[in-house]
Amino acid sequence: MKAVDGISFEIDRGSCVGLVGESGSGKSVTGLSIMRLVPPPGRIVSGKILLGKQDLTELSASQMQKVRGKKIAISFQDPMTYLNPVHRVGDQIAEAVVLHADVGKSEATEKAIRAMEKVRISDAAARAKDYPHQMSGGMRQRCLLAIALSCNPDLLIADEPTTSVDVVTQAAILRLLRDVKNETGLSVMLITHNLGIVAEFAQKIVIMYAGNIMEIGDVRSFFHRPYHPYTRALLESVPRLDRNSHTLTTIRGVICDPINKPHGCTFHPRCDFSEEICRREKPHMIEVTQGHLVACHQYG
Amino acid sequence: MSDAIVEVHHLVKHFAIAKGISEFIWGPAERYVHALDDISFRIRNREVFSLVGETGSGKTTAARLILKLMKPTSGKIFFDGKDIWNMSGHEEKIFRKDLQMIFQDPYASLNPRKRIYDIVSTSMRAQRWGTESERREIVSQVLEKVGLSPPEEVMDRYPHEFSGGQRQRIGIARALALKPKFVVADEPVSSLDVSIQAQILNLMINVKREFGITCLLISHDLAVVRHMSDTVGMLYAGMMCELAACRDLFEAPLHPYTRALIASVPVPDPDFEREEVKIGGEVPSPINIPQGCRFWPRCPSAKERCRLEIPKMIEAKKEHFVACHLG
Repeated sequence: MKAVDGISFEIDRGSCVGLVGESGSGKSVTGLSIMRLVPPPGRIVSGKILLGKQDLTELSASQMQKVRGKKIAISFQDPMTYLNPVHRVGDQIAEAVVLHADVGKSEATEKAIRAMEKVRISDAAARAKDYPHQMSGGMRQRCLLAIALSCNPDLLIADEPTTSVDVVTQAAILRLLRDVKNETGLSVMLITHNLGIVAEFAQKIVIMYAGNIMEIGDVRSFFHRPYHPYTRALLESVPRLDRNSHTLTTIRGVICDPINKPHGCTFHPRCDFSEEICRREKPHMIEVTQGHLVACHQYG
Repeated sequence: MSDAIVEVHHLVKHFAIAKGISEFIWGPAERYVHALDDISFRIRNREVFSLVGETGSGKTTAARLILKLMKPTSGKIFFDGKDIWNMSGHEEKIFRKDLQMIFQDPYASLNPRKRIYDIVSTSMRAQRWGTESERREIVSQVLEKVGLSPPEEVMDRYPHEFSGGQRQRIGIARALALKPKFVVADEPVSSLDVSIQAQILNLMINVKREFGITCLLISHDLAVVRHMSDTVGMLYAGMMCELAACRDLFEAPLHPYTRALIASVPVPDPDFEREEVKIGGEVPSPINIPQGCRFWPRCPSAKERCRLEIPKMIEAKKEHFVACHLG
């Protein structure tokens, strides 16, 4: 079963790429693959992951250990699952520091508190002694980000960083990420299903469906004129705060079975524009306007 | 007064924090979770009324109280003019038929060991309604109505054979089987993929129109609320801070919390401009609630009075109520 099937994209230094898709799109697996954390029996079958000039797929396990957390960090969706419930949060952040920086325990604890302050947890020194269950959802999410940012990585992969928190906390966390990015030149890969977050925060957007990339574009260009039928339908099917009630477009059918994917373009069974060629042949990515690519036979 | 199908008067719900053995030895608990404190509203016949709030706002508690799944600490709830805690056995039976619920998690809300037919006909069996063939006929019709066909095939399958969106349709079919007057939909689409949400929302709108149902929608998703609602009640930490027609609330929100919430929702348009409203802090603990207005510790416009005095709901504009000293 191919969770991700031949995808290519770039993340520029100091910018944010939004990787958008629904369940089964392969977005989370992409994030895990970059970290080489795909759980067995899954594995990367082919392709390259270039961090600068270094191909991460060629590194040994111990070499990858040095990259993971230090150069590329990841924060996951559900903080309660990823924080150890029996350790204090300060210790968990310090653990990440000790792994990558050559410092002793007390200095690591200091750095952990600094990391918590960086993610705007007030009264950080006291909060560092809390256990995860004593914190609110928003605070836990900030702790996960503190772990990720503690070693000043070049790239942060944030997998659904705001799904489990409320809207006001979501806005605060996104503002925080934007400020850190602007201050330190951090690059961010934001994995989400929420087009609103991508519009406000990302510079580039990559739309995935069933393991393939459907469209890539600069955010402004993308929202101004989306090309792929899936993307267009997605944008029209979302209820919006900035508009009064309008009839929502629906995409017929269901997301395809990841094991029995359709031949040709994976979206064709649900596409209102599909033709014979769509059933036979998988479309290549074509540049429609500068920096804006789409995988659809309509533009071939 | 007469066009309201549900009326809630000064509803209060506190949960005692029981300490188990220590309570047995030293007497009753003195600490309470203040889930809801004195909320009042009416739901008009055939409208979609949304209760909006973040986690801990009390919206799910309010829904459970209206559904008579637990008893209020104080206050009254009327359905079709009758006090729900003061009904005869016969009235209760009708009440249970007329009020139904759609749940949030389509994976948890369907019994995995029951066939779809058994799930959808649950209320019919509970009410001892109809013969076997009458039940099969209704289940078939309602499955067709929610877009699951062919119904004869669907009826004999099990939940695990269906996707999240299809399961939610089954949940809706179950709620509609006995043509209820009132449906509580608790976060009906938040567990679903974006492209499926639209299908379910459109289905709910069509069904509501066709069956003439009144709907209480519980949600934290403001875009969904804006799309679906006629009237919106905003809850914060167990109190109602604003109540207005949907358009009025979204176009001219009065309460600072409502304003902050609306300003925080991301919009899928990179050129969308609006004033940034930053509020820090967290929702107060429902055990140690602030003395005056619950929102004052985080409110950008808070004054001394807000700290001391709980604001009452006042009609600031026509049919637009707000609980704020600045209103």
